[in-house]
Amino acid sequence: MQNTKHTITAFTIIVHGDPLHSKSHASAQKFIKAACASSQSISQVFFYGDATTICGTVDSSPISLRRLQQQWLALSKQYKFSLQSCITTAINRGIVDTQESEETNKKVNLTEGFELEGLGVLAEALLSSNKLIEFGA
Amino acid sequence: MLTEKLLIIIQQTAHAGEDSISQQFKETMDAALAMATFGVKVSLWFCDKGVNYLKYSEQFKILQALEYYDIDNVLVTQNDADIFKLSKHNSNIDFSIIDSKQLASVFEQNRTILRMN
Repeated sequence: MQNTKHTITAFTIIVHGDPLHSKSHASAQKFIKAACASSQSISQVFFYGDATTICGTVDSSPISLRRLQQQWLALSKQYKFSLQSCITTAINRGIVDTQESEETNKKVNLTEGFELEGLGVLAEALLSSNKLIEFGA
Repeated sequence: MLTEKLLIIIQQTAHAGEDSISQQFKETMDAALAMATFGVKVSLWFCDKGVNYLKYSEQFKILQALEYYDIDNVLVTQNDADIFKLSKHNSNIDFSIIDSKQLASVFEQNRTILRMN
């Protein structure tokens, strides 16, 4: 009898392309849907560099950015993974979370559902034997 | 205990004259140093125009930090070194020149390969 045992792989997804000027976000989302449809799991999505602008919202944010944000939030809820952004690169691009707001008096613009984390999160993912898949610019 | 190995590819040009390029390089290096801090064995492969970072290494102070983070596996292929006229004499970074066979072996040795730029 054929062995049909299926090994589940936990993926950590790294996205570092600009959400408005690259296809990295759309490609990552397609990969996640395909992976989850094949009974694999996503442990987290980590946004780095230009990709971190996805987690902020200002009144003038383009509709396409807001739509992409909603798609990320919906995927995160559906497949139960966290949406994390590198805190340093996000702050460099004007993203403000509660802590940053308290320190600088700037208005919070981090969209609910996204978290700002240090690079240690990425190192932990690497050390935890997760598979890392990168979606670049 | 096995050490987790990570290869980071640096391919962007060093002298594009755009802040975003240098910011990308800085962020790539920040990621490399952070990973090394957490005990990941990081190797850097400078390829294509990224080789210029090594050639003009005195302009990129962050490269001097590599040795303090135990990032001693800095790689360039012979082909790229020839194209960009990089030699041990015109860089103050200690790098290794490898051939394509050795590069294949580097890919095999590193479970994760990232190109964060």
